[in-house]
Amino acid sequence: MSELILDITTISISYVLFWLIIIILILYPKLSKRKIERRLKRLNQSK
Amino acid sequence: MNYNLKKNSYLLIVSLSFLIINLFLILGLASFERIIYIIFFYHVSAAWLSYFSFGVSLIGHLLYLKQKKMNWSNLGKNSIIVGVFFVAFTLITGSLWFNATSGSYNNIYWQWSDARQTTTLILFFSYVAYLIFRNFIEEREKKAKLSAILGIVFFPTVPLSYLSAILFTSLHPLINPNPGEPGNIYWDSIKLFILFFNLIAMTLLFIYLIRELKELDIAKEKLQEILYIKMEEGR
Repeated sequence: MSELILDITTISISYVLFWLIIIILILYPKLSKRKIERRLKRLNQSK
Repeated sequence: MNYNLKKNSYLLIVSLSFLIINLFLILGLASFERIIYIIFFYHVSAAWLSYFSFGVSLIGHLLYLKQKKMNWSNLGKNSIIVGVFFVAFTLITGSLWFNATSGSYNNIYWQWSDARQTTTLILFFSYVAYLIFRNFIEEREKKAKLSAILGIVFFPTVPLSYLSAILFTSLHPLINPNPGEPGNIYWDSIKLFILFFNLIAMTLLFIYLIRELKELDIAKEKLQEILYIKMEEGR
């Protein structure tokens, strides 16, 4: 494979990884908070 | 709370927009002898964010030891969570860069004799160990105190990682605004501007993430309180 194609592949992998990390970091608190809120709702209902 | 959430969403939109605009700036304005040099914008930005995160965590831990407020301990922990992700990204992109430039894709990703790579790996494992250690301690105050001490003890790995390329033998190039210095990468003012723009976007993203993680900690504490009350009622 030519150097240019390998360079583009490497850049693409890095770019996808970069956004993947950002998405994980954005979604982790949001989803965890939603899970806790659902649990709190269930606990309040069972009072 | 709603006002804060709304303000935080704006911060997310601005930081993500900046990051997307930045890609167009890189592709439109910057010129490179090899396209692989684009990796530097993301590698340097991630390294900056991880160093910044660990710096904030040090402040958080020091303030916890002084004031004994749980907020500071949580700030320290949350900064480390963000920092660990980005230092992992820095290590991966650094290895990919190394493979691309050390003899053009000969599957050489790692060189233990390279001071920057090795010290950054030590930094990564130190903070991963911090997160694992913190997770194991049950008691709230003990957890905050011991992890604050650990966070402070591990911090010297940050300046060590940064200075390693200057003080020890390293193949890591340094970005230089002055052309002609051997071993360094010369970047003109346009590239430096794009890099600076990316750093601003990343810093805004960091503020957003820290605020979100703080909200999560508040929710966790509320849940703990209710579970404790339920347990007391059940007795």
